Amino acid sequence: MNVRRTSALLALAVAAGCGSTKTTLPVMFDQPAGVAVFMGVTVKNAGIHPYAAVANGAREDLTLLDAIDDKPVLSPILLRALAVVTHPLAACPTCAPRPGRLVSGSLHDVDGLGQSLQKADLLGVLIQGSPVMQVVRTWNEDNQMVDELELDLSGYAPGSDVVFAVTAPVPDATGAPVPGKVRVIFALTGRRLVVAEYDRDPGDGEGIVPGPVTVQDLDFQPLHLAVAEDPRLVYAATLDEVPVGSGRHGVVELDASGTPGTWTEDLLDARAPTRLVAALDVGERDFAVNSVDVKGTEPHVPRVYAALDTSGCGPAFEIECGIVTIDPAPGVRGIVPDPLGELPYQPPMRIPASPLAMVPVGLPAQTPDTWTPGTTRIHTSLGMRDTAAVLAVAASDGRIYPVDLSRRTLLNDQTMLRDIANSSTQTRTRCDGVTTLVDPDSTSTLEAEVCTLADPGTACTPVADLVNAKDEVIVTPGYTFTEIFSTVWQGVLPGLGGFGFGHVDTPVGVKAMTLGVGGKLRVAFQTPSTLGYTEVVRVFDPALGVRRGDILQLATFNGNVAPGDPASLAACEVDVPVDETRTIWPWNIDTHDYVVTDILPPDPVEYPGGALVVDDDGSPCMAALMAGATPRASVRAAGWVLSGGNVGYAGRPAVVTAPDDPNVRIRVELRYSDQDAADKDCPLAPWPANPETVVCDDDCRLRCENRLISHLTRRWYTMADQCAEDTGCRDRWGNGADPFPNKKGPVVQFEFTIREDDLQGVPQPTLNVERDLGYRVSLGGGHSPTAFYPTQYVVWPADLALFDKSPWNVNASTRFYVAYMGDEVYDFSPSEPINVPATIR
Amino acid sequence: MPVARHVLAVSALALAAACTPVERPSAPLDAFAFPTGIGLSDGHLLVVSSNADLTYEDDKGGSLLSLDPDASLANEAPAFTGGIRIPSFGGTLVVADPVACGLPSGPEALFASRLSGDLYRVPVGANGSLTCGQGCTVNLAKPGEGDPLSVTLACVDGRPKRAFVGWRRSRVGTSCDPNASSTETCAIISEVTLDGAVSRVSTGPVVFNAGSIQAVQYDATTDLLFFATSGSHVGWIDLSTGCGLAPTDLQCSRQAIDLGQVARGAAARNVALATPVPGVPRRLYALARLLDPNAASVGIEVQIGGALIVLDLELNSLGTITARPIRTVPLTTGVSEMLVLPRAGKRDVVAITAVDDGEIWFYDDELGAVTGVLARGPDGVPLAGLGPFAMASEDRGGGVVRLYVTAFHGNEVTVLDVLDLDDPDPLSTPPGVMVVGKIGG
Repeated sequence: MNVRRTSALLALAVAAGCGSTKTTLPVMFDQPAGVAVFMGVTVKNAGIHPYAAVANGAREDLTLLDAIDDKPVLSPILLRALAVVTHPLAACPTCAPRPGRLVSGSLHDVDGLGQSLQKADLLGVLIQGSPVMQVVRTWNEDNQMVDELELDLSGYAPGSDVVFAVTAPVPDATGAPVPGKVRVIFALTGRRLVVAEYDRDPGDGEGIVPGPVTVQDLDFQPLHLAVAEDPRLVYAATLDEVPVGSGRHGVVELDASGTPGTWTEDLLDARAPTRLVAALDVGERDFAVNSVDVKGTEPHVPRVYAALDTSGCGPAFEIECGIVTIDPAPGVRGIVPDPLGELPYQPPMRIPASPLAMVPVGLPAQTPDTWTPGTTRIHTSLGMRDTAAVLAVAASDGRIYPVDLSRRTLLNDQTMLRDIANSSTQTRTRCDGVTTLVDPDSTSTLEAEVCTLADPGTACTPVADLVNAKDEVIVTPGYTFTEIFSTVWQGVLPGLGGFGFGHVDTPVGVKAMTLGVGGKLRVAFQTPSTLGYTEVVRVFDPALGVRRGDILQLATFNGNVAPGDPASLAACEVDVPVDETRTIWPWNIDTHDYVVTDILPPDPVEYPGGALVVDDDGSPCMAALMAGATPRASVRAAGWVLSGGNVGYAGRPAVVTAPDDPNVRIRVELRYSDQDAADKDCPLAPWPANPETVVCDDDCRLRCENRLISHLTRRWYTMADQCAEDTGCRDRWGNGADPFPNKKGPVVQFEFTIREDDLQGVPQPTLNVERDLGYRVSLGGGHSPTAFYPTQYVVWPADLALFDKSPWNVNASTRFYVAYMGDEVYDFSPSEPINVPATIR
Repeated sequence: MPVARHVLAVSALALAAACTPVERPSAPLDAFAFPTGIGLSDGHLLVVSSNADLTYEDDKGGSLLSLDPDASLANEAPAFTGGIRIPSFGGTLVVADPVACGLPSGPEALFASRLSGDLYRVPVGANGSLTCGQGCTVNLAKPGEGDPLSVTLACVDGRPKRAFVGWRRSRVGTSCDPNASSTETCAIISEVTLDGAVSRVSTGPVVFNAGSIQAVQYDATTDLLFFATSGSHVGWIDLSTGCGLAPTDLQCSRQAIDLGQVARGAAARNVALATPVPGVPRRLYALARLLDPNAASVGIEVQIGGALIVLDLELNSLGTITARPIRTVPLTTGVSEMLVLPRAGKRDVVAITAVDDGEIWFYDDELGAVTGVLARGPDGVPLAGLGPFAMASEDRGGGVVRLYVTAFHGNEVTVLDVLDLDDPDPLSTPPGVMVVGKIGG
């Protein structure tokens, strides 16, 4: 026993009594690396019985648990759990053969009448880092490895390692399982599969004997496999383009109806590389009907689920990260269409952390009488939800997320729609607050006021106060995400410098270099370095939002100079005395505003991120800048700019002043537009390897901005909530009598007006709006995903195994064993409250 | 070894000393004692012994020994070629090339002593002899101020030749920003110039409230200095602008990311740069131990496992680096050191030592998976030695890479040959890695 385990026990002792989970016998797992449920025979029970096998990744054995009572199968001395020991390998007799992933599968036995007959399953143990699978004797109480069944794949695929393995029935011509057979499909390095069959021993009718082993070469590297309910179809996740050079990524469907070795490949387009895959026939709610109800009568259709790989998904990519639902039917062969008809695909189901393993489950064999026929259940903090299928996703944050496959969404533990009565804190999608951005030193007589929602397009009816103003901000469940957006007049573009609120209390701007060329000043945001330049800002990238006509603000210091900062430029000093009242940043900063007249593409030698051009104003300061200087710089929008604290640049709000309105009226609106069209129109996204060769004029830059905003405003959540009887809820979301708001909405929308104080109604055609005036709105997305997890050691759920316990206990339903790296196994059912699951240690 | 154990060891020893004064001998120069650092210089193997249990006297209880590894293996006994005594608690070792680092007197072995707070610059003779004369030690930390541990070299043409030393422990507020609050801790790195007559030292905090520095790693391609903290952060400092680490220097830009956001419970342990691949983002390997966050909240450190977090470093439009997690690979407990093993035409293989479980793991970055583990034999004894820790590699030709691994608890060096980088597994047929022999012990 090492320090780790001593500490673990100590922590367990400390934690005892704190958790809501129950702790059973001390089983003493050692870094569980795999788990599988199988039917077999042990000393613990008479006859065939369900067990969970757990691979102890840091030892050389498996532990067997009785899947009915979660107690271990004991060794003959009855003092500890039975250790099913792996056998040393011929290739390295002195090495420890440590078990990794486990595979199990039924041989689909039948009796003489063709009726299903329960016999012992195949239980295979992959030895970590080796191409070897050992097989456990599950058909009698011996429960040790069977030497005759050990499979060394190096004999079939020399030099290959096993990446993943899965069991599947051997299908006949109709797709029905051939009785007495099972196959293990191994995904191997070197772009190949090996398919190994196992048969029921014709001699004793109980044991298992090896069948044929076949190699299937592939044109891609499989990472993960899933078998459809029709075992003639096998699905593989891959990072590779399929076919090579096509630019297409997704899940590869293998037609396994023929003999292994002759299987054919076809891509199901997921718009991104994939890492995990699952397949199931699912009864989905009727997305054509505006209801979230699952009745249990929906037809079951084949679906494939793929976890997208982070190398090709996210805000900058064609699709966000998450789990996509794929329809393998002809005519689709890709992600299911968006039920709202808005996006070119239904948005991925977003998981808060990286998926590590996932297993789907449909209906249990038996359900309690109180359940809706044809459904199973997911327990959430808002109550039970009926569904036809669940995808359990183990994630890197230690949690297991039960994805509702009927609704194609990850359920919410809080309402996204309804108000919580008698509470000042709401969980629904909302605007939490509106604040004004006004310089406290300002002497401006201007006022800004949020307009009510009642008068879009007409003169503004100001909201009385900011407390009420938040109710005038339009948000949309599924679109609005948690973020703080700022709308500012001539605001600094995100990341491009900026002065602290109150002008000069914080360091200023981004390091820049200037040089006069052809009578114009070029300004690049970069720092000389040993490698040429570093801290290179790609001002040519439209994602930063710079436009011709914007304001370039160059800042130099006078008086004292900041330590080590070369930005002082005597010729640019203006006669402003040092402001002694400013204690944080005691150096006066001289700022000089110029209009950006051009945006130059990158020059790999002079300005690898591009440069901004301003005209010579003939001043001594400009002359000094032309000679080459290193001031700080900021870029301000020429007009209104919208930005988010996390997402950065979010476009330019429009001025929508009515013709007879004396005041200036601004509309902030972030709304989705066709991303596929936008993706095609921008040659600078993704940022090309040779941007200096790309021509992108003002129209092109606007199209690129549209692409950015199109991605930013993609709907990220498929609603599964409803208003029920809360009429305020229905009014809020504008869905009238319909309990389920199914509308396409903006991420955020509101309007406000700027007017001269005390002069309302008097025409002011040239209002001199002060910089940095505007509003900040705080938005809440309202999603708290339903999840299951132990109360202790919630670190690294390495593997999941499904068990349908309902034939033994109808209320136990379908459940999952989760192997956690922290020497524990978690047994839970999505249909049970979170305090019911067991943690086995 | 956790600091807590050092403290316990020192305390126990102090108590014992108070009762019965015991004269402890100086470090032997013919044996290893808790070796922590290893490197190769012109065919000579250099090993730092830490005297971690203080069997030997404090000030001269550690050692730097050089030996001929081939002769040692052939004779089945260490063939020492040089040795010096040093203070206890020596750390990781790097070897400075005399040409690249502008060292007229030849190659130097550099390592820090956590006890004395010094950086050692020990010239290595062509015959493996070791001398520690004038200028051999460079003081970085005053007594009690902190303990420098990890070292990396920045020796690139046309740029200052420097060593950077990370402090494993630093007192709250020591050398931190004077504006820092009393509860803030700072991670300290020292910068030592190598090619001048006198080493110039500048020391400064690099990141606040992220613990201390576990490891440092300089990358010449990007001129970035990477570091792993004792908290959950890895970070990097842009050295390309002529900046420095001291508070009075022009400040370097720096970034850090929280590995805990990638894998729950991750505590950073080490960091290494992948071999550059043209046309694709630079890749960073971050090694982490996985701790139980709930136990940590009540002050107990429960190690659950380990993880290798693979990150792509991409320059973004704002001129900073975005570190994008590509994958997280589960590992065992006690993961400590990493060694990147390049391959022609493919991404790297990364060798990782796990000191607690006595294992060496091989991660294949082309495949994104572990392809081999050198674990224990049937007798329960780790094949890589007891407590494998630091590693050095040597190209033996014919596609064979030899690894020298210090066995911290075994007081020996295990010699391995990686015969097939594509399949570095002792369980394969034929084996992809094999133990060649042991030196010392």
